[in-house]
Amino acid sequence: MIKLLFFASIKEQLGKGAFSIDYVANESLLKLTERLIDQQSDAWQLLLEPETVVSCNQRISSRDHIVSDGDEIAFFPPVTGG
Amino acid sequence: MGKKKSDSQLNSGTADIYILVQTEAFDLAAEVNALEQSIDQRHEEVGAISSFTGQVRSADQDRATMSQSGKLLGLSIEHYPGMTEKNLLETCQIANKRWPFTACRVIHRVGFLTIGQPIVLVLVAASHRQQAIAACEFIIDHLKTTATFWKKSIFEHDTAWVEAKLSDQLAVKKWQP
Repeated sequence: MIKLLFFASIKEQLGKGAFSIDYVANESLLKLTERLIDQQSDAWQLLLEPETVVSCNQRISSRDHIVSDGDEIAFFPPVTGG
Repeated sequence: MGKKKSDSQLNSGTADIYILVQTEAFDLAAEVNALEQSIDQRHEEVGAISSFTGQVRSADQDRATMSQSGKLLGLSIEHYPGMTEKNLLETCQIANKRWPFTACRVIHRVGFLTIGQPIVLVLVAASHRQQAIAACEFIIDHLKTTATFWKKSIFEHDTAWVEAKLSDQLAVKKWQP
């Protein structure tokens, strides 16, 4: 299983803070996101917007990163702390 | 709101780095005292302590927003537990490599904060002022663009997520070697 987390405006728009999805071998973050959108609804397209940041196991990752079973993937908007 | 606290401490052999994410307010004098205690244990000479405190301001609210949403009441801050602390620790370690310091302490609050309340504290103790001041500024500039915190403005009748600022991106660029 892959653990998915959503933060801030993304969590609010999707109405979910956490979710999980089956692991598929040799799948990139981009493919995983597209599969997720297919399973859910068009509202989830925001995960593919260029300003949406993606992390894998708490490290910012590119969309072509290959996901491993048990990974923690998070989607969030640009940070605004401080 | 219940109190929430998560912290991490690292004694890498080169510096004491202390990171704390919490809901409750912090006291500058108490935090400087805690920093000094960690310095005392290291028996190193410290000639400078620099500090930065960021607080909630009301000036971000423009008039158009104010007429529709009412007065700004404060900010609600959320974070990504685990990733935030890891990121802050890495930022402090990078700063320590560039400007070797003895100890640093970074505290960031989460939850609802009213106007005027402190949000973030960065303290750096070093042998000389140049290292202390530069490391402190570097840490806060990096925190603003890399640490996983998100602010939401809470108005009387509405809420709005704070957008990332270009000026913060430009501020961090000046540190690129």
